[in-house]
Amino acid sequence: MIKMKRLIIAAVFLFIAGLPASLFAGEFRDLGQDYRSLAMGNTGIASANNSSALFYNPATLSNIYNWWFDFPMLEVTASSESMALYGQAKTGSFNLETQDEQFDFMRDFIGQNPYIKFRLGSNIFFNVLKQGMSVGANYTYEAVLDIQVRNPSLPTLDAFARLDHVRQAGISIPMAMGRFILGVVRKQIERKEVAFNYGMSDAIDEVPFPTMDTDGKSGAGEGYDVGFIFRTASKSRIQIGGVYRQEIDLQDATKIPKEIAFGASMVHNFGNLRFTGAVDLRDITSELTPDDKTNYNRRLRYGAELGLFPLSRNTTMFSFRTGYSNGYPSTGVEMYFGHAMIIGYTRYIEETGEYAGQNPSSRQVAYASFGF
Amino acid sequence: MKKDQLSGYQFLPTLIGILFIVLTIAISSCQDTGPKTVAGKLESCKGFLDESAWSSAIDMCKDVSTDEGWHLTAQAYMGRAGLSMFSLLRSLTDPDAVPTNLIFGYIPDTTADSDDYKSALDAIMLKVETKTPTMYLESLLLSSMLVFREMKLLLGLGIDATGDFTTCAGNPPAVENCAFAPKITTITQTIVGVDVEIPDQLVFGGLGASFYDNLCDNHIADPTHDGVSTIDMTVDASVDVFDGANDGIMSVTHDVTADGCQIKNTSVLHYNKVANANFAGMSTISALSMLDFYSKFDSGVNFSIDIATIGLVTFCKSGIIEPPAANDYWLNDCEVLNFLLNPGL
Repeated sequence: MIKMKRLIIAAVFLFIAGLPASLFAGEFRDLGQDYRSLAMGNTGIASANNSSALFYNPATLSNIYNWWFDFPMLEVTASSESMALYGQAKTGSFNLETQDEQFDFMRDFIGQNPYIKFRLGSNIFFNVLKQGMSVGANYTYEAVLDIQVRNPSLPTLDAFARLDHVRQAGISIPMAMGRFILGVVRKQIERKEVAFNYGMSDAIDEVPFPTMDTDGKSGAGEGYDVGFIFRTASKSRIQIGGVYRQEIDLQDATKIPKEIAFGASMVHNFGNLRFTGAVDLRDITSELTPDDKTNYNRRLRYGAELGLFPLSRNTTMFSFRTGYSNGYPSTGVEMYFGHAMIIGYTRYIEETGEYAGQNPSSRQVAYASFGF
Repeated sequence: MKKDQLSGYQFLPTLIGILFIVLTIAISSCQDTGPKTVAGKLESCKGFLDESAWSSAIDMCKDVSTDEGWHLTAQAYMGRAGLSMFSLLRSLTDPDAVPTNLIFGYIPDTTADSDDYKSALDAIMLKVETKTPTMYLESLLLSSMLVFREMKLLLGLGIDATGDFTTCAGNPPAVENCAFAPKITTITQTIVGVDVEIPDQLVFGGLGASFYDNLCDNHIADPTHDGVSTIDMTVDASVDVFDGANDGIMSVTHDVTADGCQIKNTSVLHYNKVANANFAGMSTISALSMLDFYSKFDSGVNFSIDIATIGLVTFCKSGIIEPPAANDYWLNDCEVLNFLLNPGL
């Protein structure tokens, strides 16, 4: 109930207040980053095995050996500094309409980076052939609010808000007796976003505070991802995967950049324990970091998962995860009660600057899905 | 797959585990330790500012070398000097605020702070290519605070409980109350049977170098001027010393050292002039025109001394110390003394 209230508040101020931020050049704002992948260092090119498969690599649909339907899927990501924002929203004191309110907000949040991401969606996945043919589709509504108030001497409020509606459907097709899997996903994306800097001088001059309605940019587009998985003939189910994401033009809104990424994973069972390891090398062609093509530390990610009491080839009752991404460790846990209810929690750090340690944003993710 | 076919893979988990460890060590050991791109440097600059690590911010922001970088450099200098432009600007938005009284509270206390204010001004005015109204406003305020500092040091500028400014000149202002006051020696002359006190010698040591150095970026020590000038005077008609003519000519001996300066393009007063000319005004800050110190200084108005029974006597005399001209980018003690006693605050 409390979580729902938070979600509502977050959604309300995204829609109504039409809030804050500039495009923080350092953060890779990928669509569909989910709690499991984030806990495992944001890996998933070869290791995704849940509803995020269509976002990471459609060929990983082959890691799904059962079927399910989620409704709803809820995921909330928040930085530790967003709690103060939530506190204001809860008491109704959060407002940026008047000059005094803007000054007070700048004063209260100087040096802070409140970040909230809210995902709501529904997924349906179905394994057709054990060799690796699966189909899946999902609808995801993703809202991000990212605020940063910089510079105590003359504060500037950098704000970024984005609303994405993503519809996608994909299939994985086994080849060579299931050793090689080809995956394709078709995406439709509608995006509305606003990014701005609102400085002290704007507040003094009583420049109207930008909102999504008055200053937002929007667009829609379609595109596809093509991926593959190569499965080695080993007990440890070692897989090598790759994906090519087509650039998706979204008219006035920020495009979805092209990406080529590779990954490897392994899954090994030890009785009631299951160990999963994963390594991803993302953004091979440096589309997200055009000015710095050498920063592999940002793009090389790896993670591990220890599952207790396997329930199927891709699910365990309890999961403990850790990973390394952007130069920071991540951790997470999950409880799986069939597809009736899945609860997950992840802590990770996102680098919003150029290199690890420059401007980290510590975040927590809460996930819950219900279905059958 | 048969068991013997799998035997070649039995060590793979171990190998992959080792690979993970090697990767961890490798990646951890080759982490970046500093920004490489302009965007990265800007981010570091902002990060230092957020942490109030002013000196580090100054070094990093300078390295960005963009307009934004230079503007942030200026703010880092302000931060190091303890100046919160945020607080000052916020106070100025109060419709009842008196800008001069407000900025009086932000006068730099030390020479180091004063240098940082000046460095902030230099960063905005000399380095930023495309200046915004806010930058001009910052420059106007910074330059005014530096002028106030000089006035505080020279004139003993203060503020009383009612918010009114006080100076060494007192109220009503009289130059004799200040340490730098010109000394006038008078003699008593008996004219037509009446004793009249008339000026005989004017001695003035100058306002000194630091005032001009700090506001003009240079100082010209004008050598001692000795000479004799005449004063056209009109005497109170009730004192019939000139046989009913009521006027006359007296000679005065001068022993004057006048200081002065040429206002440089890197000086506080030049910045004040440019900022005033370009600051378009913000909707909720008004009455900043009183901070136009350049015009007030380089006014061309000659300082006058009020001498009993004679009246106002202009300080600079052609042939001794050249009288000032307005807006000529030259200042000397004649103009400055006039401003100091009539600051119009």
